[in-house]
Amino acid sequence: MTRSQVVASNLSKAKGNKVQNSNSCTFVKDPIPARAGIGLKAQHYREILDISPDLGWFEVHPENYMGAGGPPHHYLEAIRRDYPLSMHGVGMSLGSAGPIDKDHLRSLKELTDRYQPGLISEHLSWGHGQEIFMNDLLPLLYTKEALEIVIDHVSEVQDYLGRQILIENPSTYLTLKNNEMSETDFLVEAAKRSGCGILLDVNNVYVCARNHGFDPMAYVNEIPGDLVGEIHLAGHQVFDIKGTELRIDDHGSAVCEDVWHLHAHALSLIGTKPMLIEWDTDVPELSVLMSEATKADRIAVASEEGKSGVRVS
Amino acid sequence: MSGLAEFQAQFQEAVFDPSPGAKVSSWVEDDGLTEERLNVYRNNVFYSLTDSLAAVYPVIFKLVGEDFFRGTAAEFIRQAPPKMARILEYGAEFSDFLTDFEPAKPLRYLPDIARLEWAWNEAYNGADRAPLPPEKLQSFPPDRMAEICFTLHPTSRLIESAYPIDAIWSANQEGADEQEVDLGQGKVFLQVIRPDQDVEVRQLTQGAFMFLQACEEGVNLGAAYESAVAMEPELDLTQLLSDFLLGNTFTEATLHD
Repeated sequence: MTRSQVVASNLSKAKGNKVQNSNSCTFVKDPIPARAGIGLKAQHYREILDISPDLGWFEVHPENYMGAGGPPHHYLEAIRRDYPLSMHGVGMSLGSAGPIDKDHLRSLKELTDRYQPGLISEHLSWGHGQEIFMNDLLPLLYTKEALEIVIDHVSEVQDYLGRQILIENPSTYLTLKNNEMSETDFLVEAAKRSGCGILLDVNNVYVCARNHGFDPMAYVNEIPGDLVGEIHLAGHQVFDIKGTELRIDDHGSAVCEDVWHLHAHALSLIGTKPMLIEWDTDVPELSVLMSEATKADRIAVASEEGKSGVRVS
Repeated sequence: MSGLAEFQAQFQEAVFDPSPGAKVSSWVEDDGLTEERLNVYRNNVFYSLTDSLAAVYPVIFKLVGEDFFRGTAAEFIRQAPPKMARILEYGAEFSDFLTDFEPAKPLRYLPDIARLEWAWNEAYNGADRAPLPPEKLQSFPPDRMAEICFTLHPTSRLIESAYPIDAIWSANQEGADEQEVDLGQGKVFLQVIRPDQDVEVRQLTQGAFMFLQACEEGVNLGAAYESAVAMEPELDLTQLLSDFLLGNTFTEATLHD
């Protein structure tokens, strides 16, 4: 089999495994294929079930499924029957100085036990302050102290869930003076010591690179490919703050050309991985997300063909 | 306090207090835009929490408009920020907040609309439960029917209001035709419930409402009917039970004297 055939077979739709047991379904964990998936949005539930789009997988925020029942679970279960699923949390607050919220961890485990996602991920950030949850991905200090805390928290989550998680590099809008190491050193060290993987958000790398003035390709070069379990792609906004450009990650538009280029660069280094199109605000028609996913897949195929010496036409 | 804890405490303080010169600024590399950079986080926190409130309270959002909603939500978020990451459970106290929120007082039905929307949200995300099969009632001895206690569906919420909040709510659903609502039309008695996949907002008579309230308190059929018929003498028990059974209102019936 040639390399391009391998990729082509990777790109065929991987169906979720399911063991039917009277009325309730028991899912078997199946891997997320190395092709593009999209974030699952409630407004697309019915259409997805109607047309079974040719997409590799879906990703959800587990926080949206922490209710006891109702349509969210009804649809997620139906969609999970046909597609692999990834869970991407925004509430675990791995970087908080305070302890992990045990109730939240328990809720996450109930969901991962029920839906058996192929990947589980969280962020290198914090949102839990003192008795308050701020529902945002706040910037972390890259110090030795914070590194130990993150490693402890990731290990606690992994031990409780009984499996590996991935942690994602954040978008940031300021630089902290007290940092003792670079973000990539922090992320890689945290991954190596806790045994977690890295979710490389290429859009976040680009946003940070522009906001803080570094080379986004150099950042990607510093992440060992074997640690990367997933790639995120999204759109962001550009603002002019008193004559200074500031880019803000809002997942509200198409992936920009520079981020596609960075994506191609990342794939050329680390190989094809599960790639997610994130679009969470001003969510467009399903077809728009599908064409973004197709674009991510095309870049992956071209990258593999390039590596195997097949000419890309 | 450790360095990280101190930084995070000061960062949180800055998120909720927008006055310039926050303590946390001393941690930030200053390029003359520290305040603007902190504002990105302030805005993100308030936007995301406001958006989650707007998802739960779409009718309030429509009634007051985006600007008023964002201002009101910001005040609410300051007073009652979320304590946990289970964001689906955030916003339960919004109705109480609106009752006391001076700028919202002219819209006196607003707190009750908020209660209705919160009940809708709870029903939408609540536990799924199979309804009581009507034939279950035939399994009880006929002379002990009055002793039956009904368990309401876990998604059931009973709401009474001095205003026609169900009509206001319906008129403000997406795609609804414009209609006039008479605020003076009198009290309404409502049940929000999701027996299957769709949340329903049902208008009840006062007697039917009292009957269900009694069931909720664990009162048996005989006593529940007595309290209801005292308020609504023409209440027909057979019709009432048949409506409730067909509407999948109950999940269980047990004998209790």
